Amino acid sequence: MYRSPRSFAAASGNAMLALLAEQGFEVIGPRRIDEAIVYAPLGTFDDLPIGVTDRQMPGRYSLHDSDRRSYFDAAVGPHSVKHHLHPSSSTVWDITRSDDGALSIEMHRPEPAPLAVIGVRPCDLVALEKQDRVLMGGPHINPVYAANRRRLFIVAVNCNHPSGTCFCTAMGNGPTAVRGFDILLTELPGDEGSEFVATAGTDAGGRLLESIDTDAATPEQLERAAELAAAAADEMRAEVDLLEAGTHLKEHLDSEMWAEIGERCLACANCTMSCPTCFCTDLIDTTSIASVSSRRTRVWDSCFTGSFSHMGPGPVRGSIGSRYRQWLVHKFSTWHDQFGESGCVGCGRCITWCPVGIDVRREVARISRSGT
Amino acid sequence: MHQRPTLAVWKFASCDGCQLTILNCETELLAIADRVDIRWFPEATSTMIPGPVDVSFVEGSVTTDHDVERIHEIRSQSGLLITIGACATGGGVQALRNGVDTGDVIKTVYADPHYISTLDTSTPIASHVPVDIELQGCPIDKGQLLETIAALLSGRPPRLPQSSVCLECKAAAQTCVMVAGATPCLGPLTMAGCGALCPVVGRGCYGCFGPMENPNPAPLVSRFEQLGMSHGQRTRFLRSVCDLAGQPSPTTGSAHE
Ligand code: SF4
Ligand code: SF4
Ligand code: SF4
Ligand code: SF4
Ligand code: SF4
Repeated sequence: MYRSPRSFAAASGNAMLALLAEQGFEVIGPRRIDEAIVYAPLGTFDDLPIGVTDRQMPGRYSLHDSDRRSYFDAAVGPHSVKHHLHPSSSTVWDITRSDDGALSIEMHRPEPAPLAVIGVRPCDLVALEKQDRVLMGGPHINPVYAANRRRLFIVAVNCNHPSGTCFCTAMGNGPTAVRGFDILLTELPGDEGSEFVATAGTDAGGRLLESIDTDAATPEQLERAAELAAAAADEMRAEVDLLEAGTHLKEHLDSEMWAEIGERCLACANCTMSCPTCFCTDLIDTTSIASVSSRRTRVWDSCFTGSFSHMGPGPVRGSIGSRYRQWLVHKFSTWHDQFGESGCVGCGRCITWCPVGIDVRREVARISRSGT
Repeated sequence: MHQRPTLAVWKFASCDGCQLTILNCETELLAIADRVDIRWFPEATSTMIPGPVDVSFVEGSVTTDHDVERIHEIRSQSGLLITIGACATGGGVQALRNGVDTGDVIKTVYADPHYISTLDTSTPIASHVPVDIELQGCPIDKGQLLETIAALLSGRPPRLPQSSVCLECKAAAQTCVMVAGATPCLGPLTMAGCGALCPVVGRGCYGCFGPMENPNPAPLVSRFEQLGMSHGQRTRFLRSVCDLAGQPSPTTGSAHE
């Protein structure tokens, strides 16, 4: 297996995708669908959004032609790999009652087809690690997540052009990946088309690289990759260490700022839904019209809904401000107590996809600095 | 087997769309007919057996004096009363006349206005009698209807989410049409249940499921302003099928403040 970085051109990328498909993987990667870059079936590198870049701001997302002819020039889109691992809805069991009253219980143990995801970003790799810890790290393993996780092959891509809402560096990771991939690519754009520097992270990744046409990466290529990473990190230079600041949020539970944010927040839950680490679910039991069978389904839930904290007479967290506080404090502060790390990776999705552009960077910074 | 529960479907001021949703449950209708005794459903059958029923589904809003009498009569004859659709739960499109001079409206619409006898307002059923369950939507969602019937037949509460359409939109991996396409969308104020039908086909939600559990219109209205909607456009948008503007900002207290 290759121990040192390799380099290849797009044609070898196509060979890589073809080999994955031959091995039975469903291959998905970033593609332009309507107004956004989302994961969709990927046949060749030509399906990638070549020359398309994104502009992301709080509550705003748009795609633009870039002067570069890069394959991976857009940062994270609205949906993370979470959709493919921790699906928004999955069946837990079916129970059927026969005529003699006996119950038969069918537990759903999915055996999903292998999935290869191309173009996973460094922040999302860290998010995966956090979800691993929550959903299969302890004694209680989410079988759907675990099965989906086992089938996953990851070709990650380092970020050359963070978007306006990216802040991975302020959360202590990115814009380059360190682990959690089978293969890691850095794109080196050029007039003759891009070259890719590739590093294997697993044996499976190494074997795949050996099966396609590559060269040893040159010192110049490695130097260029490092320069691109440094420039990307520079683009995100933040004044506040949000990883550290976030830990103090729980000292400000009585701040008046929560109610003030509650006036601006819609409690729409877009932030939690698009967050790659939010894991909360609800369990729904339904019965058939004939009342002879029932089904339990696990569905995404959010701390912004009333039912999330409903007990006895109503929701414990009634006001929008108290729900916003739950989200921010859990994500940035109490996640440390629960899992020994932050719940945020700095992908920026909750900022971009908040319909009214509430910015967690700003809220964490000012609440953690405030008096109360 | 126990005696089958009896069921009736009643119509007030409405377009029949929600009753048609019942009829659209083609594959499930036989299973339903097997378990309930349908006593009154003019849209579907000519057999009418009046008298008390276990469950009444009520479509439409109250717009005449006669409606007021009739809904009280139906309430007194029904075990459970379930309102179906935007007309019955919120007054419907016809509630646009609330707050304007009904006489003027009648003159504009009808050639012979003196034949028209109507109240000045179109009001939801719950403004007149207690309602047990409300199914939102214009029209209602077939899945929610079947869930409600299945729940009642099994003696459990139906699962009817009160959260925003945005949850269903994100769960469906739909790209937000407002953030990515600058299309005004009422999803953040609107109750889930339709599966984000409109955003999934690239349109903004126009709020036909009525207000969600704790709607906060003000910030969204400001966003619509940024998107270039005039005051009049914003007002009409928030009041197209259901009134999403009249909700106070929910800054009410709770146990965990
Ligand atoms: S909190 Fe926001 S920025 Fe952090 S991981 Fe979640 S979506 Fe990304
Ligand atoms: S922020 Fe809310 S939805 Fe996300 S994991 Fe925490 S409690 Fe769950
Ligand atoms: S912060 Fe934004 S996305 Fe999250 S619930 Fe509030 S308005 Fe919705
Ligand atoms: S398209 Fe509408 S319903 Fe969907 S997330 Fe955006 S605002 Fe919410
Ligand atoms: S998206 Fe909105 S307008 Fe469209 S069906 Fe659903 S609730 Fe009605």
